[in-house]
Amino acid sequence: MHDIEEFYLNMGPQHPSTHGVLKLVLKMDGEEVVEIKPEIGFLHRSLEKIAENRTYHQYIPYTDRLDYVTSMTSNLVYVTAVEKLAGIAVPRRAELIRIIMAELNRIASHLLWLGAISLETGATTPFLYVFREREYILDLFEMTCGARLTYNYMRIGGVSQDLPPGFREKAGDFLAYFRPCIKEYEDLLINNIIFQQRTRGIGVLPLDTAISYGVTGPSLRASGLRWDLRKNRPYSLYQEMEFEVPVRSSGDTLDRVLVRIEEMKQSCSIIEQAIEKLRKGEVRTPGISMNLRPPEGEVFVRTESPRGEIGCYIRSDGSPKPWRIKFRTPSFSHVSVLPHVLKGLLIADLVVAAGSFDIVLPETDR
Amino acid sequence: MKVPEILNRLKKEKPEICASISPECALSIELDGDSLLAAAAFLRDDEELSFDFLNCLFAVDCVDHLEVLYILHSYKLNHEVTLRVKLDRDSPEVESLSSLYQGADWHEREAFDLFGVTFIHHPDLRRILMPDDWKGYPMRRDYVHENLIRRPESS
Repeated sequence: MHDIEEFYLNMGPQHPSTHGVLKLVLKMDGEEVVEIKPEIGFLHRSLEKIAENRTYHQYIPYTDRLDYVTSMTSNLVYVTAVEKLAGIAVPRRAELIRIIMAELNRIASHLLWLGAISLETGATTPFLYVFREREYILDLFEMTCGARLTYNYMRIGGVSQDLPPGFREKAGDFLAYFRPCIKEYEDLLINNIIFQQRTRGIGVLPLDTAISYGVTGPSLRASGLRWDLRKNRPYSLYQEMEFEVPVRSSGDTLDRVLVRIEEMKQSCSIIEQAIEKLRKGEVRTPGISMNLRPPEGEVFVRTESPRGEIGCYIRSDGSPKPWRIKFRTPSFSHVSVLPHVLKGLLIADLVVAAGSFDIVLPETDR
Repeated sequence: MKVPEILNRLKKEKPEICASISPECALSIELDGDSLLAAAAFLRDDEELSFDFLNCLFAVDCVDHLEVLYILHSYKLNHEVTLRVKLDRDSPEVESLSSLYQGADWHEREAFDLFGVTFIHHPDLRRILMPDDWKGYPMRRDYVHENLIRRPESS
């Protein structure tokens, strides 16, 4: 046997498979990863500092940039927090529209992630399929608010405008088209023997470690805890929706994939129910001042984003600008658990296992 | 369990801990910095409380002092509580919770990076979001930088 020296490898910040500008400093023993040190902050824009200098309304577009893959949910957590702080009621129709948008965005986000992880396992075609389907969702967003990525659609007390004519039919068409697509992904990708071998038993995250590190969302459910804020601590009108919370037990990469696939089906059902419940009505509470001054105080709101639990803390000193805003983002915790999960893997598996956490860097760095 | 009940249980079982309902917000418990670690350990390990999940922790600059807030949640019992520790602005120091919750590690690094809070017994306390050689603590209210321009107050 030769003596093989361990060496360091910088993966990222510019690397095609790190899902953004994440830098992993890897200590390698040949192909095997001995130690991982993640370095973040390359996308730090100090969104929380910017908030000190903006009014409550002005800050909404910044929350789009918090997590551009799922802007609707970042909008949602922020406006929900402001509404709770200022005691503003939201019309029922607006709540339902918000749920439709949040769930459509959840599907779009999961699709993007599925495309990325299929590339990482060496399957190129599904990547094109999921982008095709995602396009339908982006079209729906575009006809609703004019934007395809950073929507700036939610407002304090409602949404910026009502659904456009024809939205209901187009959304119905999308759901009818999309449901068989999930079956297609399962047949083509998930049940493929190569994909299964690349993901089963890889990057196992035990439940107690997941909880200790603050892992949330689909990654936590894949490790065996049936916990979803939409179900366990419902916000908006989720208590009226009927849906299952998919859960798996082994916490490996395959389970994280399966949980998200199942979640897309549940989201379809939630969208259907929300559309069914839509009645004519206001979409925005009238009379909210552009210089909104919430009373002195603080609030912490938690919602379920596609990646996990996103929290928003706001403290108001009674002025038109927030004193302090803090976002608790799921990806931040997920990057911090990577050294634990990826240790001992081969470098090719590392890419897949890290990708299965659906890490989005602008959200980590804020 | 509601926050006053949580506080009562904490005070009954651990009389040496200095804790009270925080006047800022009825949903939080204010703790003395020295008793934070003992209180957090009790909240986590007590059967009737079992706060197994540290949702996040972060600092707030209140001009005359700094506050560190800990959002705790129990998956088992589905209740939550906020712990609040007030620190001296010139030498903010508090015990690290990374021995109880592994996730505290990075959150504490962030509070150190942006507010300059020192966490005692932290395994690896260094900047996380800002570059290593950055001067100052950007999230403090009195932080000045040439690129940071305060907008005038609108009427």
